[in-house]
Amino acid sequence: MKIKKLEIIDFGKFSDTTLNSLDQGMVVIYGKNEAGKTTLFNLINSLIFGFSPAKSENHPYSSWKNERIEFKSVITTDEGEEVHLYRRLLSSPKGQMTMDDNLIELKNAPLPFANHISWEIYNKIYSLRVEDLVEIQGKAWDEVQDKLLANFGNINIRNTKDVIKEINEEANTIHRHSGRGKTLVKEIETEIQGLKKEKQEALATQSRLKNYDQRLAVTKSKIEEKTEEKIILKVQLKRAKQLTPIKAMISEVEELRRQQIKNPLLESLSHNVGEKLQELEEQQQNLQKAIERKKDAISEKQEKIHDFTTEENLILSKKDQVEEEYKRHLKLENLRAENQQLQQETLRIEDRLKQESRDLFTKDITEDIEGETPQRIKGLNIPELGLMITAQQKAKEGLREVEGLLHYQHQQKKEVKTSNAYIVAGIVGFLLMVLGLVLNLTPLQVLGGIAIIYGVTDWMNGHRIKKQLMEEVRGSNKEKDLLQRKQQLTVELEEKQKEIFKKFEAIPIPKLVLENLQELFLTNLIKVKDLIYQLEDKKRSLKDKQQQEDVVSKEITQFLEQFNNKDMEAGQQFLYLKRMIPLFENKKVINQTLKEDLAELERGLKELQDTLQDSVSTSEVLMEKLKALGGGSKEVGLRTLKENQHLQGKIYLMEEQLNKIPDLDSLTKEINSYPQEEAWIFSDLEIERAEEKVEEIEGNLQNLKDEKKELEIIIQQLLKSVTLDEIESRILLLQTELVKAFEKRDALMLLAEVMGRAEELFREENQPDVLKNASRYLDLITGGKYTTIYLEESQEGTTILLKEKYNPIPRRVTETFSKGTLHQLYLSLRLSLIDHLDGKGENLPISFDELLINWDEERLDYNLQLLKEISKKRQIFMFTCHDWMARKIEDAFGVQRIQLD
Amino acid sequence: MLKFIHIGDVHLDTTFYSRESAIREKLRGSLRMAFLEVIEACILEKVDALLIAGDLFDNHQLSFQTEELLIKSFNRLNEHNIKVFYATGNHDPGEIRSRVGAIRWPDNVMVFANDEICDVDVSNLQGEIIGKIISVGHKTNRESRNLVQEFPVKRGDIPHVGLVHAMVTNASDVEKHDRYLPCTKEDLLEKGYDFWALGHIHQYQEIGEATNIYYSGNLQGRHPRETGEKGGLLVTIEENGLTKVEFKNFAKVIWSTLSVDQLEEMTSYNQMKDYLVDLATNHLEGGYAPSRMEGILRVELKGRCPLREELHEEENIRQLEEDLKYHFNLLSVEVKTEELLPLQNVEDYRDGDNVLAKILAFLEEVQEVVEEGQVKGEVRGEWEENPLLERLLKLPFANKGMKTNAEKLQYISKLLKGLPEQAVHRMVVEDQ
Repeated sequence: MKIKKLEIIDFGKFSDTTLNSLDQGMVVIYGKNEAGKTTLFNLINSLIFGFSPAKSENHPYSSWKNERIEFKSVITTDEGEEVHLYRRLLSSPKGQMTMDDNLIELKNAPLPFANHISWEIYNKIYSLRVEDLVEIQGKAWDEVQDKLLANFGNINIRNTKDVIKEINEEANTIHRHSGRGKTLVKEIETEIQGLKKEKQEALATQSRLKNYDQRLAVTKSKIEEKTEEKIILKVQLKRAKQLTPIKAMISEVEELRRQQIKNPLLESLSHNVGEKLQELEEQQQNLQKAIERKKDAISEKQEKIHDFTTEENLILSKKDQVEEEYKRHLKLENLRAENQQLQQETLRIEDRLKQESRDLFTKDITEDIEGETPQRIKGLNIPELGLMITAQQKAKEGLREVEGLLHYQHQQKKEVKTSNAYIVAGIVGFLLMVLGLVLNLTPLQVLGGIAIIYGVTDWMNGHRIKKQLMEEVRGSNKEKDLLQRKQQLTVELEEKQKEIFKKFEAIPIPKLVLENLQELFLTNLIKVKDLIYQLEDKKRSLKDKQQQEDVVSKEITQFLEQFNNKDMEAGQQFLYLKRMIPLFENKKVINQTLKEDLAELERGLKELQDTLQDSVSTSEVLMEKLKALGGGSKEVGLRTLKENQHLQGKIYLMEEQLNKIPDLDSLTKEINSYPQEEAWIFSDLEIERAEEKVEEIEGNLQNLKDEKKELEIIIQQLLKSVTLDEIESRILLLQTELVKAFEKRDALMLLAEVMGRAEELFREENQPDVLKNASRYLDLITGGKYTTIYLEESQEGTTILLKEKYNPIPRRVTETFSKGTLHQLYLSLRLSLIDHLDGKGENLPISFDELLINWDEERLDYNLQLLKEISKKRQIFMFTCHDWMARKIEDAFGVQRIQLD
Repeated sequence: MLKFIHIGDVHLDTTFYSRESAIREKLRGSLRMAFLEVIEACILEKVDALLIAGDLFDNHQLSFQTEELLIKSFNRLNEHNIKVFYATGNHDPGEIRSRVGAIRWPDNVMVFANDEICDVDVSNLQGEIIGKIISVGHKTNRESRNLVQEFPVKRGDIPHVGLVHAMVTNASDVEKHDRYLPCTKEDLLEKGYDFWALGHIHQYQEIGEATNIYYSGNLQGRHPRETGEKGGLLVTIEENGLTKVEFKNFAKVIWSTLSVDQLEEMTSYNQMKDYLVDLATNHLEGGYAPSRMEGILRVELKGRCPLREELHEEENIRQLEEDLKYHFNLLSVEVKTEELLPLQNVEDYRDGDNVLAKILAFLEEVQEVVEEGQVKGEVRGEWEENPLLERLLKLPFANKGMKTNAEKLQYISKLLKGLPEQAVHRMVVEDQ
């Protein structure tokens, strides 16, 4: 764009000033200092970008007269369009622009075609002063770079390098690789280190704690051990104190015993042997006297004793026999009387038997009672005979019956009748038996019995026969049969009779009687038989008694013959004896008493004599012993004895005392049971030592208890110390913090790196054009001396290299370069940057303030060549206060200066 | 019937992530309380055993006091005839120099401290066998073998319980992934056990559905990422094989994290405070009841915020923390503002022929390349031809943790967050 016309109504010192014919590439503004060159430059600025600040009262170029800014301008764009601009600043800015008959309200905004550049960039880049060239190196260059890279739009973006620097600084406060300075990481790490150290300490504390705990356990067990030891020792001491006196006494007793003379003689001597000897002598005298007295008494008694004769002694000795024999004598008298009576009875029975047998037998059987006949009679079996008689009678009756039948046979009719006599016989028998039982007479009983049997059997036979006969009468009435039967019965009867005869063989009984034996016969026979028995009994009894009488009589006679009074009758003799016996016995008793007294006396005498004998022998033994003890001297013996006895007394006393101690045996046993190594307890010295040891143990115990307390306190304190997990927690937190710090720092680094890279790339994308253009400009203004500009990026920053025309190696730009070259380089770069900044946008005007005044002629010419080229596309305002410079430019560009007043 | 409590990852005597030492003290006490409460629960519930699935403590940090606490607690269980089965983990391995082996455990404690698989019978007072515990420990802190595969398959009717500190992963090549006894769900399932008591993961969970494979989680949250209720499992295996699992909270202090963005409208402190109170009210009511337990709330502020500068001031952050703490009667509140962004809109500066636009373009480019590389899982790629990224990879980072380029790329990606905003913030001169 080009500013064609400027109509300044109010701007700083300018009022109502119009600058025409500006429509050219180079505008030279000439004026002395303070003529308004800078004001004009600022006006151009405000024209393009508006007012800043946007209030007239604050604006440095408020009109001096009217406190306001107001101007009008005509501008042509690069496209050739004409723009009319009006800007005014009062309390608020106003801006209007007319283009293609369009009115555009700008207010305070930049011109639309200048939007690609900010006010600040324009201000710094598009206006070049001579001072810029002076400060060309260092900061100025960076600034150029920054502006180039950053201020490339309409946004407020900070200097990348500044931001990166800031980031780096921030990152450095967190962490620095060099490790220098104070950083957050370092702080945390230091703290972690501290905590790790603390952790080590805590670990050590733990092991100390364990150690102390173990020590505590050891101490506790030591305390127990020592307490136990103390108790044992105390118990032992107590025991020792109890046992020691006993032990001492026992020992003393033993010692005394050792001192005693071990002579068996001593043991056999009593302590008072002297007195005893004397006593013995006295005793012996007394005994002698007593003996005499006893002997007198004995003779006295002996005289009083009765002397028994042989006869008297015999009587006394047979005393009991006399009494006995006397009783037998009385019995014998009785026996004699009995025998006489018995004899009479025998004679009476004999008479009766004679009488009975006279009726029954044919001869007197009493003549020889022990002869055959009486014996046979005795041997007869009465019941058997009874049966036989019955059988005989039955047979007879049977026969009679048969004969009757036969008779009936003959008479055709016969009556059978049974006899009632049988029943009568039975009843009589029964009565007899009863009578016999009442009277207790055996014969009667037997007789009764027989009668019953006879009666009953015959009555029953009668019935049976009657029955038979009736049957026979009915069944066999044949005569033949009856005859046969008669014969049979006859035989039977004969047999029966034979039997009876046989039985009475040698018995003188008439045959007729035998053939018709009746029951009455049997009764008589029984009577006889009984009498025979009685007679035999009596005779036998008499005989026995007589024999008895003879024996007893003989014995009594024999007995009495022993004594003197033989002529006396037995009875009298017995009476005499009986009278004498008590007399003798009385004497005997008196004698006995006397003898007993005598024996007593004699025993007493004997005792006295024995005692005397003992006493004497005792005296002798004692004397012997004393003499033996005293080496032949009784006195020396006595003395020795006394001394020993004294010892014995002592021993006795001590033993007495010992015996008073309860449970001495077990104590003694205990004392003796102490083994040699423990026997110290009976030594005072050792007891003392033991007591000291107890004290020592107590001391030890106290120490141990103190130690225990101390350990417990230490443990308590250690337990209070910071725990490992607490430290670990803190470490963990710090480590988390550390990681956070690392991450923050690394993020910053990352950002810085990305920013740096972005900036670099941005520059790479833009720089080549700038450098290429700048190289061209430099080539031009150095007259081809320097052909190319290079940039070298290094850690220190950006370094510019210049290539000379004939030197293949570029040279690093340093201060050694000539000032002119540096100015040329700067100008080339600056102009190239301006070109780049405008890029595809409008080429904005640039201002040079006395820029070229220090340049030599050649360089100035080269430079003006360049400006000529530039001014073709861009309007250049050249401010100078030098006339020659103004003229030179006027000449070179063919323009006229604008003179400021 | 077999009844036991399963806990794990107690981490006694280890770190607590809290700025305030009083809170750390509180948490330390709370963890011990939680452990003691486990012991009380064992007694109260009359369990047969306590199963500890590793990481009971940290090998290097077990204190004298805690050792005593453990011995005392286990002795107390012994008095009640309760057995303790303790399989070591990577933090408390059984190797020679470890603490596990040096402790004289009470008779009722069975420690599985090495890599030998053991099965132990659990008997009741009558001497009947009521269950079997099959376990293996970590011998070293680098147990990378899949030892679970070697476990015996269940035989018979007696309940079988597996106890192990392990990392359950779904990948096929498990051993390549982890050095914490890796195994798969299938490895566990095919043993046919009634219950698997696992440790290592600090969050209570069942692996899969109705598998009876459980992580008990830890007893007490130790940092803001361990949020919500923490505790152990009360497990009852009936004779018929029916297994009842009940989670029991033992934690006394609950961590909670609230993430807040959309703060563009915040122009005053009070406005900000009221907004946060509203959000936290909803969050806390939904999360847990602070009246029952003590809570630690972490508020993470993110995004563009007019108060960003103010909220980077330590003093203001503390004020906000205190206000929230008293409003909700919490143990502690931590407000994080690092991720707050300046108000300028990056997008406004992306276009233009200037350095800032160039910077933003670069940051975007780097982000894209890094992300692309990460997605592809490749270390090589376009970045090799990207000179900027190449330069960035060579940057002397203060954090020396990254060795490989892949790690560095990941780190750069992390660092890039918020950098465009920072660039804008730093480069742009704000209109006054």
